[in-house]
Amino acid sequence: MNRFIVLFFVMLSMFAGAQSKFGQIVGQITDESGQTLLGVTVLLNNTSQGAATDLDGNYVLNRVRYGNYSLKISAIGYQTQEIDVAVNSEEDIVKNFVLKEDTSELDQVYVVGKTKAEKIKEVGFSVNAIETQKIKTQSIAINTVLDNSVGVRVRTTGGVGSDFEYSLNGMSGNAIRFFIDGIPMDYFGSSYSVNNLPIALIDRIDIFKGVVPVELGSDALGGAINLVTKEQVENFAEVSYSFGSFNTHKVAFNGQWKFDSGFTTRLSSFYTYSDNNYNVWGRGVYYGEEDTGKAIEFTKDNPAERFNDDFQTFSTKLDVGFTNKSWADQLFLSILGSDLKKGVQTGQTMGHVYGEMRNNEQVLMPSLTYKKKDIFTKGLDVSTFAAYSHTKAEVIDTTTARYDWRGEVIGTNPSGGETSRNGRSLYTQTDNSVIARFNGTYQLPKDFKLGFNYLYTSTSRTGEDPFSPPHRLAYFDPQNIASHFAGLSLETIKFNNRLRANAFVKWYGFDSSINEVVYTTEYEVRPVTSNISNWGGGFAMSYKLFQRFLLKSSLEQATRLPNATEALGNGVTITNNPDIKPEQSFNANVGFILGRLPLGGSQGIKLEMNAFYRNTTDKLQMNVQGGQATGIFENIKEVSGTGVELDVVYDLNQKFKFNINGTYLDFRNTLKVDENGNDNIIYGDRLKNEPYLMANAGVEYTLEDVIQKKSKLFMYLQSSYVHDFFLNWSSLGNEDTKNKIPTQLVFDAGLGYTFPNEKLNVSVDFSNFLNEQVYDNFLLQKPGRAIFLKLNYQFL
Amino acid sequence: MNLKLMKTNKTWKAVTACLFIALNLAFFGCSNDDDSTDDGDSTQDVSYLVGAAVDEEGYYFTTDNITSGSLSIQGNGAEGWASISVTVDGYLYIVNNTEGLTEKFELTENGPVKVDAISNAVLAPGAFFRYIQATDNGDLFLSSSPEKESGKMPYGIIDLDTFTAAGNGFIEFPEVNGKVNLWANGLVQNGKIYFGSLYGDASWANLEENLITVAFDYPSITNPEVLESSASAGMTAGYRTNGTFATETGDLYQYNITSPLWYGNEEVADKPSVFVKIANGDYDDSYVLDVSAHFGEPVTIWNAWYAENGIAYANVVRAADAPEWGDLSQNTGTLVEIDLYNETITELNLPKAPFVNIFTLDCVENGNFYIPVSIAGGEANIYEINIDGGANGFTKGAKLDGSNVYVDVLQKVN
Repeated sequence: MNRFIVLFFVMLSMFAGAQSKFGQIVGQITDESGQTLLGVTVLLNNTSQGAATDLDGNYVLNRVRYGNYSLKISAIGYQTQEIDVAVNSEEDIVKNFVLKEDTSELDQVYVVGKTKAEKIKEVGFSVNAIETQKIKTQSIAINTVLDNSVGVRVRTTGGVGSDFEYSLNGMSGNAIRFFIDGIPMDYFGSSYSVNNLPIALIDRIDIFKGVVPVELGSDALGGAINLVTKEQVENFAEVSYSFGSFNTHKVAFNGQWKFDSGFTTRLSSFYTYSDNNYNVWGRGVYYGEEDTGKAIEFTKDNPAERFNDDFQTFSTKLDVGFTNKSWADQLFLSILGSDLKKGVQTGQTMGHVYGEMRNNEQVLMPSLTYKKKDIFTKGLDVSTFAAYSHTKAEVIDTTTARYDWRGEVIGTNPSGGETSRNGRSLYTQTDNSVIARFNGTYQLPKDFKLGFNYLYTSTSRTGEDPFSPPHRLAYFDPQNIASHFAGLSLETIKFNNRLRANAFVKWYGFDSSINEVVYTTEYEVRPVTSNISNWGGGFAMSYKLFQRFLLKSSLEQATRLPNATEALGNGVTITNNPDIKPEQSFNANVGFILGRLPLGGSQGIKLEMNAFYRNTTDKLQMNVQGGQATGIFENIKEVSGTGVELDVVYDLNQKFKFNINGTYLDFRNTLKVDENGNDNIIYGDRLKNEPYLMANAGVEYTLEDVIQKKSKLFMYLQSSYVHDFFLNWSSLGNEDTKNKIPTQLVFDAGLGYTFPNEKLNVSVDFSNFLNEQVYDNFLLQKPGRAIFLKLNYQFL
Repeated sequence: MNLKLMKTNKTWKAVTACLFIALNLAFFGCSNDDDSTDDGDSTQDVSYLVGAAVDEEGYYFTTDNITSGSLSIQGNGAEGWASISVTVDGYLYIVNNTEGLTEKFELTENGPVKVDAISNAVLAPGAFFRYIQATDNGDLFLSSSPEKESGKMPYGIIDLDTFTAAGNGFIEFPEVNGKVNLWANGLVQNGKIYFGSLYGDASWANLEENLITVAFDYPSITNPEVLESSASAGMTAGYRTNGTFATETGDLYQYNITSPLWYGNEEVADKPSVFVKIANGDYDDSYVLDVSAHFGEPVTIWNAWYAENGIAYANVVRAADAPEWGDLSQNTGTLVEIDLYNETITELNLPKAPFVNIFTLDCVENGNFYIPVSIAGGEANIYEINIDGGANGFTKGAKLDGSNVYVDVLQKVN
């Protein structure tokens, strides 16, 4: 009896112990390319417990009793996996999976799961999400990828490393802000920018148009582009090298080493060099005949070659820290260093050619990143970032030699300096910046989620120039700018995920101390301080009317403050504008998504359409100053307009895809009567120097088992069209002789071969292969035909 | 060349072009685009050249009538700045600093047609040109102002017959009392070029206390000779327009700028605004026409244009009306008739306007002087002024379409 009593109590205690002991299984599920998978089913066999992966491919199985289980992972289109797992500790058990495609299943019934990009599109914001998976092994710049996206126009001034400007649904310039993993890129330097980052480092690009969510905290009045880097659980290391036309070389390395202790290091590094010595001809590209001075234009058959446009940059980012610890999902101490050197070939047009002018820039940026989900309490997620950035930029313009488009010295200018009317310059600008960001979300009951974002940035700028012309005095003494952004959002998902809504308020604060030069008995620098704050807000909402049909709309009242360069100029090619004012805009979007509609067999078609309205006051736009080689940012009093964009994708088995998209903008000067009560002569004119009709079309095809089993051959042909547009107000002057940026139709093509082990990839790309003479900006010709070969290799 | 590849390229191009055309049509089908505008009257005679600025953009066009009706740059005229230009024998010569060219246009019934261009870099490497004039030597003289660091001033000479570069270089001005020439604009007459000047320190302080002109032999630009007048002080070069002009007698007349807005200091603010005369190669110290005395308060002559028979017209701004530089672009300018021979000054009862930004004005016909009056915040009209016609001897002429148009060029072409 006693034995039974003892046994009873032992069993009872074991049962009680078992009752109180739970573990947790967590992990991330990706496909073979490393792409995280959404909606994958994770089941503990013989239990009722299960979960589905979220947007980041993560899953969590809570309160799993101690014991041995079989874990089953399944998703349509992928081979099901099953492993044994023992739960015998309160520590998280991490089980990551890489799913392989199930081609046999695809041959029978083609079912397409939603990628993360597609899921992001279903939120109410007007957003494009571009997966880079297929193209990241090609020699394609991020700018080019985005330029082919609906509603996006990227205008560059030349070849590799040249200046660029984005336009999103009619909003352009600095109204568009760039982020990397949610952090503003303003302080990362020119090297670590969307223009120069290798696409291999980027997993996905989110493009928010007009209305920007709170977590991308900034005064991004016109839109935001967020580059999402690879965040992989497994170790990896990959290197790529491409070379091609114009002596262009690009090397990139990206890797992660993670130890069992959670200690993790990441390294991403890239080097780019190009001579950019492409041919140019036509208006603005001439030389003067020695005896007569007659301007002789270069022609397509006898072009000039750019000779002072070389570009070189090297950038490295090292992260050291811990991942997947109980106290931190991520804690990284990082250091970013970059060095950039480039020649400056022209002024604001090709009418002014420079032979020796150069720009250099060095950036050193230490930072600290911390992320934790369910911190303190379940549902509370935080992400913080803090950094210090030291940027030193040089403008070297000291030569007395003068060049023409033959690349020859044609004489000397005794005062020196190729760009300025005020003599030579060796201007060094130093920025010391601080950036701090806190982002938190908290899951409330009844499917509500609260979000908070705060961003602080400050820059102290000084300059020096041994040649010290008086007009540049304002740039020598320290000038300071600080901005605050705070945003609060409330989002919810209702009615069986049919309704998604996000309402938000934003607060902007701006403090500045900007120098002006005054003359009393001598030139003096006088700091002018200002303090501005403003509120904004908006909402985004989507509703799934039918399984494949989703309506969405968003609107925002937003403000953007002029940045230092817009207000103060850069002391060299952009002059200051003391009358500059903040830009404000009311932005609204409405659109729909028609999900993949089967057309029979394995064919399908997807369609997205978005209409938008923008009403901007004091829009900031850079204009070339009359008769000068410099520009100035100025306010255009009232501009408003509507636009529409359409994106259609047809696919066959997902292996063949045809995509066509188009954007039409109707933005006009809407100031009917000026401040004096008089009629405005340019009322109703289309916005000047802005493209308004753009389209892209492309096909891509993936072949498997080419030459070798399990190999892949990817091919694409892409075309880009921009209708001509006027440099100046459309109604003024004779239309036949007006300055215009001509229509461009550019074709790019390429193919990439992935070897069976999937570690080695070889690709070749042809850009502008019909060698069209193309311009994004007035009299600034872009490169012609070019070819690039690229090798990618994955070590791990 | 691979013909097959060429054919493939063309096929792809055609296919995609068709797609885009379809897209284009679809978009334009519902567009109310009104960019397309009328070319205007293509049969008009060419008598006058008008240049106008709107919203920091420049336009110029020809017309046969400036005394009545309306003039418009809507759908009419060429795009670009004609502010630094001159017309000779039916041709227009424009300094196009945006593209580094001096361009020659034939003025046809259908508007200016470009016929030739010279590279400004060949004339003066790296320089831009601020002034152009047709000289009595049968050429064009282009110049800027002395460069800040070297003190040298770029110039170029273009032969009109052949439209070729005939001379160029950098002018070295002599120092005066240890001071350098900071701004200069020349007038060519009888084998000499007379540069109205501004002498001071490189910082634009310690300005010379006399009026100074530097004369060189022309076109050799040699034998500099410094002319000085103690009649006043300040710059004699002129700002937008030349500070020196010649009359039918062969004498040169010149005015000075005294405004502290120009110098950033008040060193010469209390000096009188005057017209002085250069005769026989030197200042005529017996001639001083004191404009300040007429007004009885501090004023500055910002522009002056010679009409005929000793009559000039000047833009005079009262210092009290323009405490800041931006005030010059408001309605602060008073047009004044100056009888240089009889030394009388008459304020015209024209509307006040920002005359200071008129770059080129050369329009005298049948005893009338024509000037654009572009009222800030108001209308722009060409006014016909009866030369020596008194304070009210004027008529409002053609009106420019639009309220925010500034006419900065008016030239008689034929």
